[in-house]
Amino acid sequence: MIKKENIISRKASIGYLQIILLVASLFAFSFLISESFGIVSAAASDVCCEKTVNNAWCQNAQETECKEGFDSTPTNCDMTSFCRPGCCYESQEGLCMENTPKKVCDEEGGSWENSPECDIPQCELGCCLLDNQAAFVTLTRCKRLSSLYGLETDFRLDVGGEADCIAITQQRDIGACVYQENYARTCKFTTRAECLDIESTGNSTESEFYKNYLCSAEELANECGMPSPENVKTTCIDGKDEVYFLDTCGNPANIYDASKIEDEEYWNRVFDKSESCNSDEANANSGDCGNCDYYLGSMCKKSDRGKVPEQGGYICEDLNCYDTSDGKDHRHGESWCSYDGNTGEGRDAVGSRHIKHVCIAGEEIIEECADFRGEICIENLADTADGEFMEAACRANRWRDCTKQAEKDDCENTARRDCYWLEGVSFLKSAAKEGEGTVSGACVPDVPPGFNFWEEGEAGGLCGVASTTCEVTCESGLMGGEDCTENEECLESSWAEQMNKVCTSLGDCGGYVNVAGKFTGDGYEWKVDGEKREFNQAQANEIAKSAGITARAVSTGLVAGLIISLARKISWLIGGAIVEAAGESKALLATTTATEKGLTSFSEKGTIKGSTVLSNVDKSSLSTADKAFTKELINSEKTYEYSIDVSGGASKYTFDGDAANSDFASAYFGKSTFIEAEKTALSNTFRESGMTLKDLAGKGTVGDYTITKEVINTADNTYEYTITKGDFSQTIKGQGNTGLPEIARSNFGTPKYGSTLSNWLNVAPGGMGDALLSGVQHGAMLYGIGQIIGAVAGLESQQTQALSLALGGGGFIYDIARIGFDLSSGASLTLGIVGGGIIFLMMYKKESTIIVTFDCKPWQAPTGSRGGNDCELCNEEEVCSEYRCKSLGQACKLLNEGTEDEKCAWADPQDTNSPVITVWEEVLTEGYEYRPYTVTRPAERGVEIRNLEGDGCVKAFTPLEFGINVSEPAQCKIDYNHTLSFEEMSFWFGESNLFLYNHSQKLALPSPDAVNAVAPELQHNGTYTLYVRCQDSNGNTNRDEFAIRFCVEAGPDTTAPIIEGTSIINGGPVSYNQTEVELEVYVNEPAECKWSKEDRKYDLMENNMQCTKDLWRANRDLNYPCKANLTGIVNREENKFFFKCKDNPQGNESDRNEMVDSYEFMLMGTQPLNILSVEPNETAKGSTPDVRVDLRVETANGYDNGKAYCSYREEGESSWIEFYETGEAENHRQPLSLTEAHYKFEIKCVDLGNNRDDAVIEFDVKVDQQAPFVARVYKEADSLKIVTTEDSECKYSIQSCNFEFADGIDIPYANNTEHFTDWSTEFTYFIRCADQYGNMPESNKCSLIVKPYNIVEQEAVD
Amino acid sequence: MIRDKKANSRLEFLFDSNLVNSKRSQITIFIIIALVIVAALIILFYPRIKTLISPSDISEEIKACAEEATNEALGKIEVQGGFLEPENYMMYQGNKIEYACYTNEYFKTCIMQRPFLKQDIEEELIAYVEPEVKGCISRLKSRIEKKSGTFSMSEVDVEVSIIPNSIVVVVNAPIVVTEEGTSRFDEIKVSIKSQIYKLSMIASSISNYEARYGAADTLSYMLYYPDIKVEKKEQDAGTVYILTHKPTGEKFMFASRSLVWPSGYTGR
Repeated sequence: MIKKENIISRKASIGYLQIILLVASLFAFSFLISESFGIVSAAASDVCCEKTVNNAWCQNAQETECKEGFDSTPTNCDMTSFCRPGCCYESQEGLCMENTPKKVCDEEGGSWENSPECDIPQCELGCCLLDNQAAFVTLTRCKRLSSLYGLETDFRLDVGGEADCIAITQQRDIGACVYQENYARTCKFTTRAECLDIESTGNSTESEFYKNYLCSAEELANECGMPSPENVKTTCIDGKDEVYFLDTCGNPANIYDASKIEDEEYWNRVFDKSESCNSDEANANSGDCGNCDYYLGSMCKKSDRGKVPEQGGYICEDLNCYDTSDGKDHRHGESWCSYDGNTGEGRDAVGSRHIKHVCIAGEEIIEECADFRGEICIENLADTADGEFMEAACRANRWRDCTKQAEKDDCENTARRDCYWLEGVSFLKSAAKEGEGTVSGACVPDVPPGFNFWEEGEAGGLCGVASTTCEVTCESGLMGGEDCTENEECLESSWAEQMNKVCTSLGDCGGYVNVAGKFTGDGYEWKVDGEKREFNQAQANEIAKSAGITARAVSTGLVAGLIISLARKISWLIGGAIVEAAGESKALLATTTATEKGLTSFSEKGTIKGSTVLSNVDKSSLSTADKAFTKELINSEKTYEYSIDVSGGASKYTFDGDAANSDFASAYFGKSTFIEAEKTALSNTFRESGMTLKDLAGKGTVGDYTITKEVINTADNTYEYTITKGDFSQTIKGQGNTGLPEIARSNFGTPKYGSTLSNWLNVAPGGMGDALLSGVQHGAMLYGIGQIIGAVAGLESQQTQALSLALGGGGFIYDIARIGFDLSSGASLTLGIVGGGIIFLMMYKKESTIIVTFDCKPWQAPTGSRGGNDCELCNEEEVCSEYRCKSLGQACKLLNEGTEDEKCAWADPQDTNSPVITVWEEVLTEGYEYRPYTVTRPAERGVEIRNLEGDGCVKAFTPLEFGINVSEPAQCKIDYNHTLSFEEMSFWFGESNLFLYNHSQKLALPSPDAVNAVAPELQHNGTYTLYVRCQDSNGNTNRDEFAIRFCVEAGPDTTAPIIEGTSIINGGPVSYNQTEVELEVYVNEPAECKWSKEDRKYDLMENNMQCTKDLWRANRDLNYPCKANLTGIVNREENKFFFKCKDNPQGNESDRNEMVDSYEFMLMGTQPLNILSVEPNETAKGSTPDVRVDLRVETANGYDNGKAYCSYREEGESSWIEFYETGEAENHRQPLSLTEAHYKFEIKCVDLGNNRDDAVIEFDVKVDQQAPFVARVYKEADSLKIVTTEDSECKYSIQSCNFEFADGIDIPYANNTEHFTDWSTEFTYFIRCADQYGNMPESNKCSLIVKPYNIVEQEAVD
Repeated sequence: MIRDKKANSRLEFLFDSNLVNSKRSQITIFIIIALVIVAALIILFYPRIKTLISPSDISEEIKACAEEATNEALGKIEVQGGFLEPENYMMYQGNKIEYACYTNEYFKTCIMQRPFLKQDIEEELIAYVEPEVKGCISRLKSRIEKKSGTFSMSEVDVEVSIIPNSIVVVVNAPIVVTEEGTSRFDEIKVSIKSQIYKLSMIASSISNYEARYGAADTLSYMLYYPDIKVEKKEQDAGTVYILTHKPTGEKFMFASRSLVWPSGYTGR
């Protein structure tokens, strides 16, 4: 029975509080877990947007993401009428598209059916036979394909599947179709169906079909036959793999077989593929057999020079891939995976990506699986009849629920997830303990997913799932030393390694390596009692090794080489190891622990030689924890160095080859632990040396006598004891195991009982039995006393226990000594006290706890030059993503993002290295070469460009292309003049400011004569030097310039100038009534130019132009501008102008060259641009607060029949806004959403000829939310006439007002104020009217109820 | 009389019996007469002959115009997922590539955005080619009118059909040209070689596959269509498919975002 006082008692209150806390904790814990695991599906979506602001149709998204003007409903798109996915069927091509929203289908003009997977009759697939081909498609598609290929539709629904469909084509009747053509009997190799369609001409005979015969069959007696051996032709046939012979009429015959060229039978009937040459082989590149097989890796193709068939021009091309990126050969259609190092079991390196390779038609195609290891590449080797065949696929990495799995079987269920079971660890906050019911493993992703570890965010929390704290319980005694009794494994470095393994398996967390093989330890924090610990180099190497990445180096230049060398030395000094750069031997040193090597004792003497390892070391002598030993041979004289890793630093001991283990050990552990044998020997000697019997007197029968023992006979183990006291002397003999007390008793009588217990049990007094029982009795009593003392003194239980055991043990020893060994009471008491004391010292324990933590944090990329030097490794890959780039170094940055030239570069402010420039050979114009130019520049800082012909100089005014390579992505500039810095330089190299490895430049330069003619004082010899500097992404520029030197050909210029372009596009328009235009023409060399409206000789041209004659004033394109003021431009006409130039303006007339052909230039005269109409020109109405209004403008005339760009602004606004639809046509539209008001918009339209017209649009916007009213209703003739207050559409029902408007009976006329329907007195008209905006009475209400019967009655009354 | 005589003598000279009787002479005379007749006919019917040639020029010019515009448009459309101005697109190597199938959500197959790519491409081609052709006709008109000819036309519209191996552009241009004669055109047809039919059909098939299953296998398509190379480029924003018709090198690129798994734990 529940008592009220119990319900409100203090105890109950505590219980309630506990329950509340428990419930709250459950929620809090769940929340924390969910946060930690962070499994996020899609972003929470509020509504279904018919269209999003990104113009995607039918997406579940936030309301703010919905595009204005389109529907949105607060539900999932699958649940809406407009976005429900279904089957969209297109009747022209017969396509059935699945998962298509209704709205999209309607917009695209398809027919939508509510069947997302297109299970509808129209989409039923069947076999469509197309001549000798087939397709498994819909009926409509079949009809379409048949019509496209000019064939009759042959669609078969009864064919089981695609394979059967294809098989049908092979079973179709083919053969020779013989018919008359132009009075000749000819033949066509075709199908029976097509043969029947061939109408013979010339006489009335029908075409004849000979199944499985070739046209070349002699018995068919037609003009086609087998060719002579020297005229053999072959061909490829669409849709077939093989090479086929051709007969003399060009009909295909059998598969090409060089041995059958003269075989009449082979030219007589159709041979099956299996009957043809080498039918089970690919016959790739075979010269005599054309039996290719696409699936075996060959296909008919026109032969090239390398692979020539014996006859004909076609061959079976080999489609297999050789020496692919994995160094192997692969068959056509094979696919395989490649990884950056090891994969699976949490070993994938940070930044790595799985890649699928495909061999198809001789080409290796690379397909990256999704980045961040969102997809994994899996491969499978299948055994086929033709040998092994590798198939691979990228598929989603199903790691998300790994950490939720508590059972190994669930974890490793590969059908559901990609996880693996890591033994011996747990996600609980302490290390797993076997046999205590805790989880003995953790389920982690097999391929750890990547994430954007370089950004602030949830990464810390995500990795934190693997953070753990381990409480180690230890006990220390009064004699010193500490013994850990619980979770002691947490103190070992292997525990931290295992925790790190869990951490790295979760994703880009913990201490791990990147794709360049660089280990970083910033991703974990390991502390023992608050003291930070780190993995040593050897452990880091082990972790790195698991990733299987071979460390790579971008460059081993002077600096890099120095760093590696230094690192190696440091590593050697500390006894650890580093992984060397590729190609160098590994200096990984043997590292082990005493335990691992089974060391048990140091006491054994021995020598250390060759591969001898320290052995037999007593583990107990190795202090609390095992010590790691590293042994290294220092020199060839077999001098060894032992590094012993102890807390607080490494100690080192060096011994020569003959040094003893014990010397080494004692140097570290001290000698005391190695003299136990000696101690034992001494003790034995002491014990055997003699004793007194004075305590025997305590037994009450013998006085204080001295006893000496002498071995009489060692053979039968006979002893003689001599007992003396003063003058007393007696000799007692004993044998074997006879003990002294028994001898004493036999000589001196029986002692009295030692205890009550002995007496009760009637044990012989004074014997060992009496001693044991007495010891137990007295020991137990003293033990109880100890418990009482401990409780009274408030001692800890362990200390009370130690005291009790000490007292009990002391008492026990006392009795054994006194009774069992007949010692004196004093001696026995001393022994009891000593024994009890020892027990106390041994049993006394003080308990302490050591907290060991391992925090799992996001992995961090290498810093400084360690990471920066690797950035460019990314550029060596097919695709360098941001993820991969960022994994290579903290300061790695993806440059030129979004372009084809994305590059990863070191963006480190500490970087002080400038890019190294070298020449780019491939881009140099043909006929030229680079040569080192060391006359004025060091070899690496300059080159000369030489023409391979003539005097080595570049042709004047002729384009020359050259380029440079840069050691890292960089921007480069070029200048003709020396400058002090990159910023001062005038031109971007190749006019590109992108960070690239390769830059190219084109230019054309004047001849020295041309130069000297202009500036004789310079006496230029035609030699130019261009100066180049580059700048990397860190702002490091070349201090010294890279020089490119070349000379320009001297000698008379015999080439006429060339007009390279104009400042206005040729054919461009000019404004209406504009009669003059200023124009620049660009000439490739300094020249004088003239223009005319007629095509005349240079001298006859009337108009001079103002030309740049100064050679040094070429523009950026190295052209020379000439200005003209073109006049006489006529409206609405093509205005043609002709230009001619004459070079060498400063030269003698005889040295000048003039253009023979004029440069024709046209300007289009235009007419005024007119705005023909604007809309809206009346009140715009709508039924919602925001009324959709389209501003519309129609333009005409102008430059291009009204094509113009129109803009608008509301009156009073200053800025113009371009129309949404404008520029491409003469109709311009701007959709707007306006509220009820009066609006005035200014419009301007401008065409390409700069013709402009303006207009104003003024209108009101009214919001109509009222349903139309019925103003009058009456009978007119035989009709019921209804008059509404506004244009509307009315419908009626004869049941009630509660009907759907769309289901109502129409009352003509819609969109009118007057509506008529038949007059009938039979029923009542329930009428509902809706205006054009959809305003209508509420659902179950009418605009009007008309009861003609009443009206008739009324009329009758009237 | 004297005059007649002279005339006769001349005639006599002309018709010297030796000359007339010579077979070679007779042939020569016949040739001369034939040439004269032909020349006379040419002069007489020059305008008509001219109109017989002119229509061909006009139609060739319009054909060239349509062909150029189609190729221009195709060049843009093929690297932008079938659209001149992609609306819902992802960036790839500086190009805007329209999504044929798209979902903004994770773990879901995409929603078809462009179910009928071929039709879309046809419409885009019309949108580009029609104004270009109209512009050409307009320039043609002003040129003819400038030469005192007349050029009348009703509404010009362009039809584009994508069929296997080519694009057929039909310019429905009821044009009547009077320039020393009258000629009339109703329809000008031009066929441009292109593999866009095949490429767009394969693209539709791939996007349909993506809408149903999430990811298409390129190898299957390449094995099925040996002349087509299918490349798949996984990007953060989705997948770009590049279809290449190997014999001609013609490419078609489109994008899809389907069955996307967030990168890392919470995605990007």
